[in-house]
Amino acid sequence: MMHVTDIAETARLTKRHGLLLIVDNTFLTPYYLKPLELGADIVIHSGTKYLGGHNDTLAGFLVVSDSELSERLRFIFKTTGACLSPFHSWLLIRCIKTLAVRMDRQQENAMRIAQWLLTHERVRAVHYIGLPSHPHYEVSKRQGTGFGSMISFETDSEETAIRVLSKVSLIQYAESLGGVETLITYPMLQTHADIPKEEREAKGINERLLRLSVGLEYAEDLISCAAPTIRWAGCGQKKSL
Amino acid sequence: MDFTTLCIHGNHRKYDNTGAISVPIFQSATFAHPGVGISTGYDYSRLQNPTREHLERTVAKLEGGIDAMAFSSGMAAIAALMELFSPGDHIIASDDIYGGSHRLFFSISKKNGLDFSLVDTSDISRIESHIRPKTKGSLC
Repeated sequence: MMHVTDIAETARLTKRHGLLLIVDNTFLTPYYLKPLELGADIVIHSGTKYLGGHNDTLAGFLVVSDSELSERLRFIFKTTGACLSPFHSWLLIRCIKTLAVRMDRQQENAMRIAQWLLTHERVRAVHYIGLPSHPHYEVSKRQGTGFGSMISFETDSEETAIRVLSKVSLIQYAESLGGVETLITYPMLQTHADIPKEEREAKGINERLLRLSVGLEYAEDLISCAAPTIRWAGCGQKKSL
Repeated sequence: MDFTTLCIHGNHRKYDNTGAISVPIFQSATFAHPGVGISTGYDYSRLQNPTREHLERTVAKLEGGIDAMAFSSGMAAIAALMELFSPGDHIIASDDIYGGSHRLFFSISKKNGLDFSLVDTSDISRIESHIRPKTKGSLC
């Protein structure tokens, strides 16, 4: 659903009550959003996503701006031991060198695809925080410098959703996000499979919802890949799963 | 310096004297001590490794933080984060979280005594209404 939290406002509340504010910055990265500067205490990342950006390396980060928190977390870090290996650290170093240019182009591609999806008759809703129609567009614009390249969209039927997933080729049906390869996922069966059905459906994660992580391919090639898979649905063809 | 430059030159510390443009991969589990009670700054790679340090300093710089820790996965990072809390502590988290975090919270952290409320954190009044005396953190 791509909800956006107002970090500065939340930080004022959490500070007043003495709570730690932890912000997952995986989707936007510090290129577009700097939660620590907005008052967050801890930033968490799946570094596997945009920071790594090539769908080839797993990594995670905790980032802090306070020395006492740093000391406490360093103690946990060295004791529990899930540290990143030297080789994978090196891969991340290499990947981060191109972070800004990747983010810019992926966002450009995402905007193009979101606008195309908006015009599609079999697409009921497009959730992309870069669209002025998104309910959290204004807060996104105020607190960050970009919108990233994650889109979720609701198709007209389960049949269309399954058709898209089973027929895409250039776009690949795989779990993860943020990489140079465009990936499509079925949140209901993948990223949110462990969330109880009622809870999931209350949030709109249903059998019609698809999630797209837009990569660095040429946008028109991605649209050429997606277009026939959506159009075929409901045209008398049976599901082929 | 601009963010784009910091992505490439975010850490000024040099780790060798060869002039290598790319940071070396210090593929070593442990580091020899020059003398009793003396350290080169690196003792054992779980504590710190020069290649990982370069990455961590770069990420800390990009986020505007003072320290970053690089974990073997995002789930390893959030699992370590949960160790900050003690049994009885309550955490308010976004109801839009990744399913893996949901599994961590409700299948592992809960067993260890942590309590969670999932709310729509884009609405601040919902965070506020869930704050209790034992609430220690909010994750969004």
